[in-house]
Amino acid sequence: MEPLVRMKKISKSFGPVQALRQVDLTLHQREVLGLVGDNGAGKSTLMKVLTGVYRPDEGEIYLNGQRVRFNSPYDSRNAGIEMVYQDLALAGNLHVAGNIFLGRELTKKYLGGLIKFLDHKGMAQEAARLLERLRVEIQSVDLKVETLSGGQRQAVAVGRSMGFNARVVIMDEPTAALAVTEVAKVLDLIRNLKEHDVSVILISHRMQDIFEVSDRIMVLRQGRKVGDLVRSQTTMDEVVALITGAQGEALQTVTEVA
Amino acid sequence: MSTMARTVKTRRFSVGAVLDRFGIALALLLLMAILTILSPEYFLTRENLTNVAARIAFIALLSLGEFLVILTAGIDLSVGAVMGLSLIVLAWSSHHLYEWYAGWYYAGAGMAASLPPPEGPVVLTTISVLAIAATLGVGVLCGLLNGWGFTKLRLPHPFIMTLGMLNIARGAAFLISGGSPITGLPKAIRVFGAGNIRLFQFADGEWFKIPVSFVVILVFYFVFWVFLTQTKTGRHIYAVGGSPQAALYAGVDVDRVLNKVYMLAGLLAGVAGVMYAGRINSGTPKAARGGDELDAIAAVIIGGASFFGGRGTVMGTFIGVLILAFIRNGLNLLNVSVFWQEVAIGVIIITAAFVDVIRLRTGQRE
Repeated sequence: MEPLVRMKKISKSFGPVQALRQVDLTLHQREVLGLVGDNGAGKSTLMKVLTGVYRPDEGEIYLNGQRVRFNSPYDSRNAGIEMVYQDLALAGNLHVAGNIFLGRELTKKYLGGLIKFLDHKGMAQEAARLLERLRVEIQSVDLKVETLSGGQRQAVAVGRSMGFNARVVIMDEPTAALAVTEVAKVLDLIRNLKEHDVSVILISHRMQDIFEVSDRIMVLRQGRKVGDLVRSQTTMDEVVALITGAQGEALQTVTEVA
Repeated sequence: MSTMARTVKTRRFSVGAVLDRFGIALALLLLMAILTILSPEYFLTRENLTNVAARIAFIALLSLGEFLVILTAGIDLSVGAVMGLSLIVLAWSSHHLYEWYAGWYYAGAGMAASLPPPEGPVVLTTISVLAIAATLGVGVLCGLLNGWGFTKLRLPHPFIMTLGMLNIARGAAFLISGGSPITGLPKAIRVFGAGNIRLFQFADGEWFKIPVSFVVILVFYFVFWVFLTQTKTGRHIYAVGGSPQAALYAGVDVDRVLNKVYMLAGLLAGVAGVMYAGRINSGTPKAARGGDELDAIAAVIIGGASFFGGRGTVMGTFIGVLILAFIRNGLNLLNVSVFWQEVAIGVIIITAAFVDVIRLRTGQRE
């Protein structure tokens, strides 16, 4: 079966700095891929190439076997790839439903389409349904986002991406700023996404999170892919050794695991 | 696999929540109660309230525009000067339109040239409509330039662009008018600033009148309330004020929203100019000297809008305008010196801003 996302031999440099060297990435249907590496290893750059923020110097991206070229995040979003930003993507002064529908508000036409007013009720119902599907408990979609906990905010951000009919959700350090009890909820959320046929790329420094939800783990070091491991066949020690360079490469288990 | 803990609670009604929602309205009622007690003969009379209602017209419109801008975490220092320029454009263009009409009449009239040109309602209304259109056009143009200075020239803060516009509009007002007032306006213009609507007759034979300007303000406030709470653009204005980054990521054209906001502030300054000119039946460049924008900012802040952006309501701004007007009016009735009035207003502005800071601190979670 054709993987959902296949990035082939992606290279990207910024002036003299080679950020990515011939990196391959495979993401299968209903898979959670943990993406790990030290700071500056190229994780964010690789994701920015995937979402169209950067264009690669070399390499190709395939979505369901089709070659795609993303010139902006707008293109990748239309193709079903959503990036969930840690803190920046929500407006605290708007309520939950307002954030989920920000930029694509539902409206009702009046006077034969002459004026369009916001469909508050419709958006509230849709938002509630969406969060219910993700099994997120938020008292009311009328609550302002700034009154929510970090985990709930993360859930709202993911809910937003689901509303865009995402097939791939990229989460960049979703648990970094969370209390311990909140972390479990976000990890549940990731599992729920999988149940809804959404694949997830999880970037995290927290090894226990990566091991709890990932199906596969990909390791970057100095812009190069040095590890592609099935979670059940590896250990934290091995992954850490790959990240730090104590172990050279571990790419043998790559391809078809889905 | 663990499921999320169910923590469904009913909404709490706390004193804090009530104060947060209705605090400004309560403050207004308290102020009115105090003034009624201190000035029992005058404050709560028809004459006084009608007088206040008629006087707040232009400042209410400036405040509405300023409120939109402050919602986006910006500031517009030019609204007072743009209003002054609008005043002059209105008076100047209605005078010139009339002269042009008279010239055209005499050129065609030939021997009847000694008679004054007929001033039917059609002629004067047409002149008024054209002059008002030119005035609002100038307001919109100033607003658009303000927006572009921020969004296209990328000047560091709207403060700079609108400070520049303050000076430009003020200079233009004095250049066009030559520094002296242009008096005498068509009735169709005056009615907005000085007209009254007779509602019903009291037993003593006096009419209960509402200033036309007050009705105009109510209409504008209602329309902008609908605009801000019921339309996409209104929602986007709040979003841009709350987090420009989030709005951008969500696909909102942030620059476009900002341009619209400054344009509307300019438009409202133009409307304020029409009201002002109508009230004093003249266009005076003195109005462009400035200072009114500071009252507008004060009203917006007293009305509970946050300088950080994204917070505040149209209703709050209206109440802010009323509080400011009643303080001036009340202290006048009590014969308090104008200078003490300024001190009092200063204290109230600082208090209102401090309340906002406290509200933000308690309302947000880390």
